[in-house]
Amino acid sequence: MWTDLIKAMAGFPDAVLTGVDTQGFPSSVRCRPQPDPAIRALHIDRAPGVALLDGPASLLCHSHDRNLWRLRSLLVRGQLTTTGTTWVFHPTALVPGTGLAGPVGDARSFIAARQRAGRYLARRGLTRPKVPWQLIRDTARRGTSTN
Amino acid sequence: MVLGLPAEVDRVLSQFLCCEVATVGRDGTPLTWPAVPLYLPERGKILLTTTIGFPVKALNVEREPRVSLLYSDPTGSDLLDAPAVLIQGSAVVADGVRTWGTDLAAHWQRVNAVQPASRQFSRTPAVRWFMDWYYMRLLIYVTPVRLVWWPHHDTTVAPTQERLADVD
Repeated sequence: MWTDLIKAMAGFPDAVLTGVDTQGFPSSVRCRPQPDPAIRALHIDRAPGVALLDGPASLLCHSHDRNLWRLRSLLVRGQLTTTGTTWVFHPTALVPGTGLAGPVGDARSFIAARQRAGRYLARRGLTRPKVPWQLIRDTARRGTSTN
Repeated sequence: MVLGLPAEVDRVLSQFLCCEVATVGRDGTPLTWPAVPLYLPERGKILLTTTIGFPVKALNVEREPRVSLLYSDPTGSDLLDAPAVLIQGSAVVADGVRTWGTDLAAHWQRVNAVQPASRQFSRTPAVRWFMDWYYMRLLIYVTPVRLVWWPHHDTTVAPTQERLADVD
């Protein structure tokens, strides 16, 4: 996993570290993890004023263009420990997101999502809801900014 | 509750295309994925939606309502020197699978504005058949309780913090 992780993360300039704070809330900060091959962990400079508990944590790498397309994402699950002015993130699992496995990978992801949606409905005894395509298309045609 | 946020933070919540949403998984691991948020300042909330094809975010919220939203990627926002903003909040999943409604219509309008290529998911009958699950949505309303922001996106200095509401 370590080799795959380093190869995948090399395509991103930075990452989002998320841990849990003392109030039990998730808390995230953008960071630049530095690989330490000797211990197969990532070193991250602690952000002043951000208190993360040692324990379960994750790293998200993602990118998109100005039109929120060309999406790429990767989640890394792991364990966080604090050492002085450094967080040490010990990766335990890679969770591929969008765009890293090419068009075939994305198609597989969509097929799996379609199957999950069917199971979600079936487990709750719900019939497949109708999508109001005309309203959806009308909204798409308007497509004006909501800023 | 109307959110009275600093102007520079308000601009980030209004104009960033996406944020990084963290929910807590069954095993206690905080899991973070990008999402398109809809800022509802007049109601003091932020709306997230997720398809039932990727329901984990909503399932996590039903078990553990404490969430966070980090706005740290200004790409496409046209904001220069924007702060990074972290919102921690309490989230609620609305009942039922939604395919339309006032808030969902506003969400789709926002998505169409910031992600024009996603319109292809409803373009032809064949694509509509294959992608109908994408439009079956769970609505997640986040009430912010704590605001943290880093002016100039500089995380090497301590952020400014503000409590917005008491935690239930």
